Amino acid sequence: MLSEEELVSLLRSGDTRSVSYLYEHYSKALMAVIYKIVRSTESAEEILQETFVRIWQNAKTYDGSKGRLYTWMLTIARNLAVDRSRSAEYKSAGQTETINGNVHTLNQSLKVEIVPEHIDLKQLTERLRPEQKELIDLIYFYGYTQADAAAKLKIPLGTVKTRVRTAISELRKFFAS
Amino acid sequence: MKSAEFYITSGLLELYVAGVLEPEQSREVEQAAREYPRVKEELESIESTLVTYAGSFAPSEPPSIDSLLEKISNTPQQEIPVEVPVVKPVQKQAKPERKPEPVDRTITREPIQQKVIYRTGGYGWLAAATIVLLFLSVGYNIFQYSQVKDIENSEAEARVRASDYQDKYQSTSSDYEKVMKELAIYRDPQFKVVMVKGLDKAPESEAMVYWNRSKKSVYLKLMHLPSPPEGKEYQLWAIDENGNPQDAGVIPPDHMASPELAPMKNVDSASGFAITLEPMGGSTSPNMDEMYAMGKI
Repeated sequence: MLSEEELVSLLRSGDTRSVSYLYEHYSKALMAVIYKIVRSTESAEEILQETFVRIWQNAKTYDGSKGRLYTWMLTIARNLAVDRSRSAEYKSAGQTETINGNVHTLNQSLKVEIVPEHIDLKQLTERLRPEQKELIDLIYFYGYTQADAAAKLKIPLGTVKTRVRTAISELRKFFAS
Repeated sequence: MKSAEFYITSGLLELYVAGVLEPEQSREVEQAAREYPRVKEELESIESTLVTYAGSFAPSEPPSIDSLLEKISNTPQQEIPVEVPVVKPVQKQAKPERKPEPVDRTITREPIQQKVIYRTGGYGWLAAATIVLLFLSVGYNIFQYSQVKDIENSEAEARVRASDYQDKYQSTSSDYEKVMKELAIYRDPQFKVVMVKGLDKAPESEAMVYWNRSKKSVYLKLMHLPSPPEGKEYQLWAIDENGNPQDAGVIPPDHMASPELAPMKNVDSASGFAITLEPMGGSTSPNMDEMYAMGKI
């Protein structure tokens, strides 16, 4: 179990073991976030790799005394995904998706997600109320700020904070059991 | 610097982990983490919870690390950061939403008499869809004029936006390019434009679907659709001449309020389009009880 400080140090010194560690622990979460935005497993895999390459390239400029690695990586992943999904919008001439490709993508998004065996996805999603789940989606997956989320869901700003905190607290209890 | 207790109960830590705080607030949380070990522990715990939660929604196992490691061995670390585009998922509105034009509706809509939910394909769908399509044909001529008007208005609106960008240089060139591409779609004869109008559930709903007959690509422009309730989102379907629905994609939340065209999934053939309300993530076949809008080519 590497500490944040050890990881940052390895990363900045160009030790690829840091990348292996980060990939092992965070690739799944980052891929899920990317996938929610781009809605294609193929694109998500590409952008996931791009994210880690970027992390590697910018490692020396990362100021470990400031933020946390995961938040930094999450922001990179999300930005790359949103940027890709926007530029993909207007490639009308370049669209090569076939119907089969689309059906495949649809099946991917609807089949039961791969979940570690000890997590019961059904129980997990029942743990959160729909309004909690939606808020978590907006904030953690799509990167909405409190203000944007409040505006979108038409709830007060204060409600956003308390609802998020309650939701995370529920999730912690769930994962602890 | 406030107390550790304050930061922990404020909800700020949860938002920090998501990376959605403003820079000044983020710096404050980071400082609190340096000063209070309890705050740092709390951050770590929140982080690990969210990593596990997010991971359970991965569509598949991430690819093996081998190709990444290979790529990295050929990639030098930089002294100056490589730029990552900074984008917000919520785009600013280019123009305030305009009110719907009054539509000459001399025919009243009646709800489909047979209220049956068809979750799978089969004849039931065919019957229901055929009824709806026939129903629409009857009223089609009356709607044609207002349809043409709406399409003309959208094109005019796009032209105004384009000249705004051109004249005032207020936007990046990519915004300008986007609007130019939108105009190109309006003018391209390969694109069929379908006006999708609200049914009983949401009579003010409007959307325009652009379908390219040769390339099969589909774009959607939402004009008025009520915000979906929590846990649900809208899904677009193409209906071919046999009444069979084909999934054209779920409508991403940040397109609900955007004046821009949203790319959807390609469809092979279509006689009409429909929008239904489905659970988050969409469905394999449309929920007929939750049909919000429909339009015929």
